[in-house]
Amino acid sequence: MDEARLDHLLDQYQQLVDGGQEPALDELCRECPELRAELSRRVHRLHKLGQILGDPVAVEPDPLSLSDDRTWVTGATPRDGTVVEIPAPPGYEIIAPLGEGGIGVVYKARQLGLDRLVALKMILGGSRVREIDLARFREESRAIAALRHPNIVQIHEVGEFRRQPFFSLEFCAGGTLARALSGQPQPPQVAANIAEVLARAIQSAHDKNIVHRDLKPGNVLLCVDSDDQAGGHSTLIGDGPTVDVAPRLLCNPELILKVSDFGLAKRVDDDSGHTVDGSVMGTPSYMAPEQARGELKSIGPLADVWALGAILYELLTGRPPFKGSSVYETLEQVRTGDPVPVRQLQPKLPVDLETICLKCLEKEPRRRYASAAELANDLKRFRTNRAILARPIGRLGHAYRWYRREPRLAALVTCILVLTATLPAILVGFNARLTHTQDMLAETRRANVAALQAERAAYLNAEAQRYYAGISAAARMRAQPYVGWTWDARKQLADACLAGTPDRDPMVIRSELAAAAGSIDLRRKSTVAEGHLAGAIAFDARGRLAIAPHLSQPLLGVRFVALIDPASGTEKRLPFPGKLTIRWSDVTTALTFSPDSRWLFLGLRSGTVIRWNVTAADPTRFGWDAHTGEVAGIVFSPDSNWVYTASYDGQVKRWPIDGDGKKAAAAWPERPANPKARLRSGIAYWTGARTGVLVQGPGGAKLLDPETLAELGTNDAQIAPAFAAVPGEILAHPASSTVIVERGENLDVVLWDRGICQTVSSLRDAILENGSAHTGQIEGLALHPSGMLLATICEKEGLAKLWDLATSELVATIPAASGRAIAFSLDGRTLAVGGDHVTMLYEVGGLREQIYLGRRGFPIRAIGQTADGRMATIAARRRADNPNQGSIVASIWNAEGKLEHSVFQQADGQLRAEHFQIAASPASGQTVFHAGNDELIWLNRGGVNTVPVKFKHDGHIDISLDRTGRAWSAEGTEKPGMREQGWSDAQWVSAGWSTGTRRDLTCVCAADNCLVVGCENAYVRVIHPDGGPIRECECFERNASTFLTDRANTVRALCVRNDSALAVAGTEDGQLWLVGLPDAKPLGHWRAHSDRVTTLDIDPSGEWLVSGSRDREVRLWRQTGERFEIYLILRHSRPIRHVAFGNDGNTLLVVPEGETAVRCWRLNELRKCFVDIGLDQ
Amino acid sequence: MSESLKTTELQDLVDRIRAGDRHAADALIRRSAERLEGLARKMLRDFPGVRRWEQTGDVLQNAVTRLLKTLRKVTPDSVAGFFRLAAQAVRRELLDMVRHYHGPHGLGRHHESLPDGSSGPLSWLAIPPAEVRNLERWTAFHEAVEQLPEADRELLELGYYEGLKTDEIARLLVVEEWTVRRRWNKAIRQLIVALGDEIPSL
Repeated sequence: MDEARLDHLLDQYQQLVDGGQEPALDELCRECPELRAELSRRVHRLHKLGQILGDPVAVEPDPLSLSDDRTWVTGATPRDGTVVEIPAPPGYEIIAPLGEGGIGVVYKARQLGLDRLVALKMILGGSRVREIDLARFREESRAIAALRHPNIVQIHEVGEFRRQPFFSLEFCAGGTLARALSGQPQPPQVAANIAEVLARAIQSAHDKNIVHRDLKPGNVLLCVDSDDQAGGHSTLIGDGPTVDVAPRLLCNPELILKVSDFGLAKRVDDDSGHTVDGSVMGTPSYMAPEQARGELKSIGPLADVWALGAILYELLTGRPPFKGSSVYETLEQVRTGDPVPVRQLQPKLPVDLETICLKCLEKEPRRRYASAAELANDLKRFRTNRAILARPIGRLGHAYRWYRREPRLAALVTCILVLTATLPAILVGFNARLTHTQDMLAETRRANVAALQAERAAYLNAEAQRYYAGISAAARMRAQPYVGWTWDARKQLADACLAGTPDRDPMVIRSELAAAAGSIDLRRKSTVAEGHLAGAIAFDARGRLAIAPHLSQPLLGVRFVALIDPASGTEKRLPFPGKLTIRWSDVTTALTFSPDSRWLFLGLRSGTVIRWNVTAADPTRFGWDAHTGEVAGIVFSPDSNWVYTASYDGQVKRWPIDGDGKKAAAAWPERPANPKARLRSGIAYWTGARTGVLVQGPGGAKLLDPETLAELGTNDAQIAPAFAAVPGEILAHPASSTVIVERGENLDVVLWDRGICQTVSSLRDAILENGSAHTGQIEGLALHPSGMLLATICEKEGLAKLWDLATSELVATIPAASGRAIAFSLDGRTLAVGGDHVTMLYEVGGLREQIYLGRRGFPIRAIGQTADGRMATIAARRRADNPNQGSIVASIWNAEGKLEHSVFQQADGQLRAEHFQIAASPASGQTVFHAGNDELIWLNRGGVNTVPVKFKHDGHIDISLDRTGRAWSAEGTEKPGMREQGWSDAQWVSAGWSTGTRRDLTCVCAADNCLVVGCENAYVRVIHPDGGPIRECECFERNASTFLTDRANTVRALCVRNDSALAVAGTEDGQLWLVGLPDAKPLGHWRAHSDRVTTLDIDPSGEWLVSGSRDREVRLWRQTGERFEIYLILRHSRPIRHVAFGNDGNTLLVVPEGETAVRCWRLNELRKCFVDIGLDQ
Repeated sequence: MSESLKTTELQDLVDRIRAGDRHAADALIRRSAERLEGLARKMLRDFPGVRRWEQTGDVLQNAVTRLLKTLRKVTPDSVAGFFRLAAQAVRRELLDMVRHYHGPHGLGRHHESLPDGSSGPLSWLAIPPAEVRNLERWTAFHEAVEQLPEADRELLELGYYEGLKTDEIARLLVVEEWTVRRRWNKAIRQLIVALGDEIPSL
């Protein structure tokens, strides 16, 4: 059919009609008679559609105006049941339909067994009804069943018939109240009586937490006691009592009212979704304003109170309080309009009843009766001629209502009224009124202040809760850390920091934040290489990640290495060389980038090595058979020119990095002694005192010459005992002289330095009884670039673990099912953990605000600064079998924390005293080390000189250098003395002053022109050399002024401020004492710790004081005025041995007892953390 | 507001709405609500089931309330924009209403014969098939309007769902009246093609 043509024809037709003509179809179709029939059909449709759409041209009144036909809005018109063939549930006989509700149909029926009349309510539509309707139906039956009240329709039975729910109710023959009323006003007493009865019935429902929500005259049924329940003669509603009889019926004292139709009832405590679909339900005229607004949440019992008021209104006036010409209008009236006062319609009505009625119809629920019972009681008071409680709406009330209706006009009128009222007031009774106004104002102000205070208190309370919640959550996490806790704790603290409460203590937040910042932690970042079990992982310097799938299986298409850039998420596949003959199924064992990140090497179990040049866009690849057994490790020379491969065939080979693989440049041994030996082997490139390739050979660890692979001299024979017969992988961190040796399930940390090779610790998981690190073979090891963290992975256990080498403790355990490979990125910020079919990338937290320095394997015994400002440490370890012997390393570190040189080291030497000391005198360029034996090691520009000293006492020896380079030692002897030490000489100086009580000296600190000495009897003595020779003992005695702190307390730590004007002493019981110099004036003291203060320092600027204690806390104090105020607390797991400020004033060095590294807090970074969350800005 | 609106008045109303004057919005919204009520009543007037079912009132209230809620959220850019949004809401409510009576789960569905061909247990409530078909046609009608091209739908939205007169539409869209007329005719022709014989009757 020619659509375009037809359309054109129809268009013409329309235009003609619009032009007022009556087009003839024959005329239109003259040229195309074949289209006439279709055009005719369309014209017919056009007219039909025109009827529906109306014609917008027509300007006559809208045919859809709202004048008539409102019956369908107001409710049901029962249909006469002409077809009466209704199957009834067993035991019932249906007599006639009574009416239909929204979802149910109600029949009058006879219950056969009991032979009584019932109302039988069944659901419409059976299985086709919506779930929500079923739910409402059940809700109704439940609601009615829960209620037992003479004025509520009682339920007889609930059941199912033909999969349709039904229930039977008491039958009321009197019809509904609506029908009985029929618009006729009732006498006040009758109306009050009916309303009271209904109110009490509704109250009983409210008592059961059921709100009716659709109370209206149509839902109140009437029974008369004389109703013949058993008889079948009761009339249907349809031809029930007529309007004429209704008044009589309502006045009948035997009339019983029954509230019915709980179809919309809801349980106040029920939150089932089916009433919360946003629909407004109920009947508009009787609907409470909150219901009309659709505020489902606020529809409660008071909505029923409103409805009761509306019913009372209708009883009194014959019409509901609100009735518009449309639903919209009615809803609007309910929401915003005020009902016509009852007495305007019924002037003779008692005022009280109007008051009661209007109180129910208050828009705001809280202004209504608080409950239906209160309404009932007031109605009863009215009926019994007592005073009602409700107060009529006064003029103010009316004004308020008017104001609510017309806020703008009201404001204007109010302004005018106020103006006109106050003007004469000012003129006439100025004074009195002013006083009164002032009183009023004061009262108002007081009320306002009280309200503000209450509001403020509530706010503060909430904010305080927020603060404490954040703080305690962070503290809880610190006490019971889990993987990722530091990030959570930071979040909590940031939130706590925002809390506007005076309880907020910045020190507490700082301390918790420092704890989170200083802790090593992991957080899952992303997953890469999904679908592959990683056999080996390597990072390059750019942060790219290479992952070799464990199984190289051509059938599965896994003959490649994935090169992934986590930053961009891109993955490139580097295929194996095509020409290479690779075993059918092989396993990847080693994967490494060269130090310059140009090359990627992969080792396979078959002994094959594959190489890619990864700088090219399309990486070139090459592979060769390097070994006859599994490639165990691949390392490079630092210049990336040579590659070394170690294999389980027992050989180590050296290859040019871009060679053709035909012949190794060197091999060790030349020929494997037993080619079939499957010795485990590890390999590492070592750059310590000697440089070489460190391998695990059959006879133990060997250091091989990096060029010839010849075994290096026997001077390093000490290596052998430590590594001997240890088959396992090795990892080396030459910067901290550390070698990690894996022995199956165990891990040993070995210190390997000139002259010393000792296992310094064995890492163990506290929950494993056998003292091992894992319960199965450790498959992979990775060392953090800092050398302070070790990551291990165990396939059998399915776990990866992160170890802190400074404390030798386990810091995190993470799941790694079937994991075999693990690696740190070169920046140390990412840990890749290969697991079953996915590789997880974790962010490594910590090691930013607090880093580790000065690790030498042994526990740090003392830290200090050399005369030229470098950090110096003494680390020592006593032998378990002989405490007087042990190994010592004294080291000096550069500003970057790299080992500069070892001042001295000795293995298993004499180690008697517990006192280790480093003292320096920048002015004289002298530094002195005392390492627990009878020697002082002097260090200056001239070199190192060891001077034997015979100390008097093995216990307390403290040494300090004065500006001239003399060493003063406080030796705990019964005869206190001082010792002056020279560069090459040690001469005992008898100090010999008399203290009156003989007490040991415990510590000494040299200031510019005096010495400060701490004693066991709690004295701090300031000794002025006074320019005289030190030998003049009396001079000390004469000039020494004394002050007593607490005689029972021994001074345990001393420090002097740079300007030599202030000394701080810390005592056994945790107090700090400020002592003014040089006159030893006491300046104050306070309890700083709960246990012995072990160490003190003041920063170069003199603003900051740090104290460490046996109570495991380091406290940082800031000088404000005359006082030091606590700034933050650093909590550790062990007693604090030593604290010191770095020279730059931005680092704080902390050594807890027994840890093998110095914790270096970078205060600038820490302050940034504080600023980040809004502290200290 | 059943009398015609002058465009300036309309524009003034919209300006006031945009300035946050709720009363101005209410005037327009009220107009739409009344139109919805009128259209619904017309659409369902002769549907016999409707009179029986009390819930009709509820359904209409729901529709009106939802419409109010929807429109109160709207901040129109132009008068036409407002009317079109209102018309969409009205259309949606009408569709919902038809579906309520005649959806897959609608109340009107129990007229269907049982599989054995006998009448269902509630057959005395049965709705004559012709009336059911008319409801189906109403559904099709509203859906067809929805499917019309933007420009045609606009005309029906303003003219039918919002009940605006030709001159009002012309002022709203800033076109000549005869253009409105022409586009209106075109929209109706499209609708006729889309609906075929299935045009609902009143």
